[in-house]
Amino acid sequence: MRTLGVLALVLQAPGGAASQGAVGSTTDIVELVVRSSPVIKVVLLFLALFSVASWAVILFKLWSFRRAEKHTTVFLDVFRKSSKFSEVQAVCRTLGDSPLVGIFQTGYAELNGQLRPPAGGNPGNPSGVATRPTLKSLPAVDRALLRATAVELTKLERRLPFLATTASITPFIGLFGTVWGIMAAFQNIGQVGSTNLAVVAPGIAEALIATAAGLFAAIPAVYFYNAFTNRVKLFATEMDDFSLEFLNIAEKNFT
Amino acid sequence: MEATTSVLLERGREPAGLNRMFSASLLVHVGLVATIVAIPKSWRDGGVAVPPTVMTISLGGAPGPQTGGMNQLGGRPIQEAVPLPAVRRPEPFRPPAAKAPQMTLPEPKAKVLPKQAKPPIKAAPQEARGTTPTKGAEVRPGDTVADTGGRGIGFGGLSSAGGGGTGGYLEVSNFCCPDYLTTMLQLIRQNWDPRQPTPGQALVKFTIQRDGTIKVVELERTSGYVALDMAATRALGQTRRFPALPAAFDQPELTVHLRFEYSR
Repeated sequence: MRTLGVLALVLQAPGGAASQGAVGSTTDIVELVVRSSPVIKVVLLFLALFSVASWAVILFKLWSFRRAEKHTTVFLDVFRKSSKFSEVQAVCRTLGDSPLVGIFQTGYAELNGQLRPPAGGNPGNPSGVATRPTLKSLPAVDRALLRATAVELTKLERRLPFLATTASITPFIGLFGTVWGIMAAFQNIGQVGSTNLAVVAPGIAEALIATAAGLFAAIPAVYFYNAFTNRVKLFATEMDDFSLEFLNIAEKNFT
Repeated sequence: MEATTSVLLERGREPAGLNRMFSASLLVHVGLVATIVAIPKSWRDGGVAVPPTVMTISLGGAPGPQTGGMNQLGGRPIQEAVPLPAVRRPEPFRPPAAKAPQMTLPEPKAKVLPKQAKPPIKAAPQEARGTTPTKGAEVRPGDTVADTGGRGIGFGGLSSAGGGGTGGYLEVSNFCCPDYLTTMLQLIRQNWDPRQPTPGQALVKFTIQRDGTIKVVELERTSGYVALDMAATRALGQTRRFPALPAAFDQPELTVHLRFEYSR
């Protein structure tokens, strides 16, 4: 009888207890970071700071925009329903986060300043009674509203450039770490004199972590920067609209 | 100061809350890192083990003289004569059974015809002439392994060891010390009796410690026949000890899954 034997053999990388001795070929993220060179550690620290700061800005802006939107809705509701500017002015204290409140308060102050000396009566009354006060200069009110719009826009846009900066430089910082790590890996190859994958791979894996961290910091920053810019644009339109509405009311009632 | 300007200055101030958000963000980041560090390592790897290195050794034929080696002839498939498939011939025509002759009276005046002599056969009949000479059974490459006396064990195609007398090959993709495996397999093969009455595969797991002693021998998958399983485990039991693990292998022990294949 003819016998044909085939031996097949599976060598398994010993796991569990046996893996403590395996220093050369691990790919675990935590171990890679712990073992990485000081330059890469510094790069990772920088990226972590950027990520923390940009997320702080993101959370802050999310929170303040949400409040601004909520307050704007309430404020517009009040503004369109009430017949006196003084009533609206009284509500403004509780709705301070809406940019429209800023515009209204500025316009109201300007109107007050212009109306008080000649009339002396009730200057904030747009309903126009018999002793109707008149406005000295409507363009001055317009300019005051423009100033208010600019101030509110600046406030809304504040800190957003930081997000843009984070979005554009963190990938580069990460890339720097990677390039540095690969340089080190090549030096290592030169010293060992072997291009064995086991020599090269850990260094490169460790270097690539920096790029991954850079992208981790950059991607949310890009997303939220775009989202926030878009929302600021919406606010700007709303403010322009409101300025014109305010001017119209002022013109109708005080000229 | 003008009333408008004071209102604007008042409005231009940023609302508080950034510091709070900064600490929240810091907290979230620290939490994220802590989570990554704290979760078990196997989760981080996604439960995917490092793909095991598979080495296949095929042994063929009877052990030959220790003269081979360093050639690639070992274990090459050779030509094998395969019998042609049998042609189904039509059944020969069988005439119906002859009727029993009726009794007839001979005609008294019948003339007796002279017997015609058959013409002599000058040539073989057409069907017997064999106009297309046959070449014998068709020859095809088969999977019979020729024993050329060469070992031809190529570790990843890099080296081949001589001696041994069985054709075969060993495929190792990523193990540091192929020579050690060769020694190991030789030792096992000496104690292994592959001649068993039935085909089957038994998977045996064992662990070689740093000093070369075999720690655990387990039958990982039975072949279904006690005799085959016994032969496989006996091969390892009788080997008892390998040389110490090579220095280039940096781990404390080596776990090997060895499949013993018996084909008839």
